[in-house]
Amino acid sequence: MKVKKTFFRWGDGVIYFVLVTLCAVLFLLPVLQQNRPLTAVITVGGETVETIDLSAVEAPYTVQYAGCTISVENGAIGFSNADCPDRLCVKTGMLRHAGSAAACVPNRVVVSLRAQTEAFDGVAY
Amino acid sequence: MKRTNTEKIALLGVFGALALVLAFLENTLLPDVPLLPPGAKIGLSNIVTVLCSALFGGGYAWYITLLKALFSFLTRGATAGLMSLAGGVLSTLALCLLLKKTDKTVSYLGVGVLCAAAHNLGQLLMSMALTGSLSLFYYGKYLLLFALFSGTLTGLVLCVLLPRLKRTTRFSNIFTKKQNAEQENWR
Amino acid sequence: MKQKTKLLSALALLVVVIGAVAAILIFQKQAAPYDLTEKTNIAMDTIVGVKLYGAPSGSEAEAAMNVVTGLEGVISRYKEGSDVYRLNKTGKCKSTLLPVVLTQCKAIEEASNGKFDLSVGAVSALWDFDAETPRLPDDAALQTAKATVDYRKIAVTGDTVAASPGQQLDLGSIGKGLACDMVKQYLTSAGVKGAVVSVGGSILAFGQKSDKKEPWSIAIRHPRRENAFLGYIRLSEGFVSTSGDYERYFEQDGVRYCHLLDATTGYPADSGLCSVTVVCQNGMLSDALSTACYLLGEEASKPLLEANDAAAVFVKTDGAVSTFGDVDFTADES
Repeated sequence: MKVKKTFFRWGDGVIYFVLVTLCAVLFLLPVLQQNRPLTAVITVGGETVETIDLSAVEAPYTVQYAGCTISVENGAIGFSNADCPDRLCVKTGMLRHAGSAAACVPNRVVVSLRAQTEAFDGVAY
Repeated sequence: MKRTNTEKIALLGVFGALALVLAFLENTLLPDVPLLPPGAKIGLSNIVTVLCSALFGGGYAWYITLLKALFSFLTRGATAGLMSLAGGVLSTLALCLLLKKTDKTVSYLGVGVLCAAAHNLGQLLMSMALTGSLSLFYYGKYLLLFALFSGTLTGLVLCVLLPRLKRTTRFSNIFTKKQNAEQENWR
Repeated sequence: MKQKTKLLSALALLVVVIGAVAAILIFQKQAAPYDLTEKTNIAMDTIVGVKLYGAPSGSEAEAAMNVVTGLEGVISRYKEGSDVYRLNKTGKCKSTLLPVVLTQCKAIEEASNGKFDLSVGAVSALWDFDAETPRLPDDAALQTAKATVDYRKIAVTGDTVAASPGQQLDLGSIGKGLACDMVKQYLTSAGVKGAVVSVGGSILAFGQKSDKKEPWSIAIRHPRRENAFLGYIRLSEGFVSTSGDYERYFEQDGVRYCHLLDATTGYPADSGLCSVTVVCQNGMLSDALSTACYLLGEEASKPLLEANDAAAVFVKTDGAVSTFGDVDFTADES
């Protein structure tokens, strides 16, 4: 009694095909997102300590500067924690638009966004 | 003439324990593989789930799934429990969908892969819901890629195991007449 | 068949010609931008951003920043030794800057019937918007503080300023615009070709950013939607200041209390506006006017704006946007 060849059937082929295609698409997607380039600049005491291309960020991560924890993700950046008393920087939330900025004044840390193709020269607020 | 439920319960208990042991082994023996995303497991315990549903019927896989989730919750905390539940639910759903088709359309290879992918998707969605961060979605592609490999592995194991298991009389006695008929295809 | 090919090739030629012409036109339009030097820092308790175009050496951005920090040392009410600090503490002080500032603002204080008053310091000190849980100040304390508020009681003689007992000067409503004025003075003398300077949201638009004369575009932050803009203003050169109820505020019992205080009541103004943006050729004026107009409301602001050759964009609390005067404003359609 031979066991019927049960390894591969056409349904399997469909499943593999769909999943592999999906995988490929997901890997290629960030490359297509270059239409909204966004650069974040972190300054401490006026000196630029880090420049991040937010459109190239894949997995979210955090950085620490002068007592502030800054969260970085694709297309957005913001203060997630700080040791300052008022925590206004954290309350500002995540920044997503060119020209926007958040600052932890006591720690002299500023996070700002500038687009590579700037729509505006400045923002009044 | 069905066998009593006791035998079913006993057997399910054994399978459940097996699933838990496999999950435990997986986590302790191989956690430091340099694969990034949290929750990328080989899914050995999934083999047990599929076995269960293939041998006894679709519904029974749920017992294993819930048991695993409960165990994770009790031993590793609420987050782990929720993650296990999310992955397990989606995976078992996929399993139930495919189960009816296993005789003609799909082999257990495809089942293994789809269940692995569904499991990872469930866990990804749950982690996104728990952290409130949409950008976790970027882990998705790595999880999917890994699922393709791990699912193939578990699927192969199933393909090899199941026909032999189904042929033993131990299990054939528990089946109803309908399932006995399905069994014929495997000979 | 020959007819068809003739037609097609003619069409192709036409397309090529149009394409070439378009390419030439587009190429022509490209201006050669000047080199950009940027600096961001914190001064005057807020974010200061300096963008310089065509700066002769690399050091102007830093120097411009220092102008702002220098000003803080003169007009900050918190910095010991500043002119304002000394005036508030002793009731008298000698200063080169304060007499000019106070004299210039007097007209606005008069026109606003005292709603805008630089001696509102005792009242503004009672409102703590940055506290962990801000609360309404005690009314009795507010009334006592309000009694010290009166711009008419400030005497300016030469380089001496004298205030009546208890009076406290608070230049918070004009400081940023004033900083922009000083930076402009510096940039002109430094030979910088163009600049956009932001001092806590008060903007100086100066010169040109390329060899082609094109206007600057300054966006106005949306008063209610985060990370969104109301629209943008185009101007060749000038100052833009915005006063809004969204910058510093707290809510208690469903009512929003913002940092723009009516000096005659001691409480935040309730003029039906949520944001006013003023454009004019003087920084301190643009800042003072934006505050005064917010306090006065849209209708009462108009004569004041006209008298100072300024234009404005008003946003009412119901969302209605209107402009007054010569300002090139385009609303954002999204």
